[in-house]
Amino acid sequence: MTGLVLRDVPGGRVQWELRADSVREGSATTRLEGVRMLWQVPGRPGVQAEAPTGVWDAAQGRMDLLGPIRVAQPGQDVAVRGRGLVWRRSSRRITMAGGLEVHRGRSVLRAEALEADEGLRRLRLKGKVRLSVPVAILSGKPGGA
Amino acid sequence: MTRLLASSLVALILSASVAEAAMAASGKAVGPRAATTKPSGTPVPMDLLEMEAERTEYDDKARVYLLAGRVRIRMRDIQVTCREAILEMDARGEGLEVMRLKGQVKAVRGRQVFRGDRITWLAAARRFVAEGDVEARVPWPSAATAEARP
Repeated sequence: MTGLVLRDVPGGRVQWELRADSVREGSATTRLEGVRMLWQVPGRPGVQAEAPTGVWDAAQGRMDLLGPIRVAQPGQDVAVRGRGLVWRRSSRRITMAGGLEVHRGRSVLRAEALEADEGLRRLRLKGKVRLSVPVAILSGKPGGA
Repeated sequence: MTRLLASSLVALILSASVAEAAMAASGKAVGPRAATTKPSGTPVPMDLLEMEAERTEYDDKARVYLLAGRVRIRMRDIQVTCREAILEMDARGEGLEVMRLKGQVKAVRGRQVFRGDRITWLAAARRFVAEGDVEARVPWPSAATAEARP
């Protein structure tokens, strides 16, 4: 069972929470293993990120997730994969990089990096963007394959 | 005259695209392509849109990609450059419905070159619509239908 490490509950509503299998306190940062972050977005399903390791810097309010990272929004058929994720509590922005892929239904988007809000409502993509879509959609035939 | 040439070139690009779609259905390789697998195990042929711009954003609420500044789009053997592009995706966000290109639009397919202020590609209708100051260089005219507005 993943243990709760941190949680922000303004006005009695969970805004975000951080869970981990193991926690090791350092002098300035906290190292985590088996990390899961959850962001609650008003009016939308929450967004959750899973990573093998992470570093939490309480002074800067910054979370670094490392390793194969998977970000998903249950019920939205959207998954984002990358090798590095940074979340800043002050700006409430997520940046991801490293083998970045955004899976939406059958389409796959690849970019060098992205910056997004916690609800993944607006993605700012960096570098060359490659969008793979089913052939039949490009051909104009409804229904994809 | 310009309108006629523009219509011909658009028609050429369009007719080539339709022809490639038929080849894809027969399993022949055309352009950059990959395949993914549906949960049932049926392979789904995939096509590739490459996009590059100074700024690229995806708006999940509106289901649109917004590209601005030195936009370059490659779709099969068609290469497009322009200043701004809006790609409108379907309700699931996975299929391209409309592509709106604005500002010094240049589309190249082999020896065919097409320029205009605005070009719109309507996926369902399989039709390009060119507007504004249209200019085209066409090796050979086509009888296929297209539409150009001054």
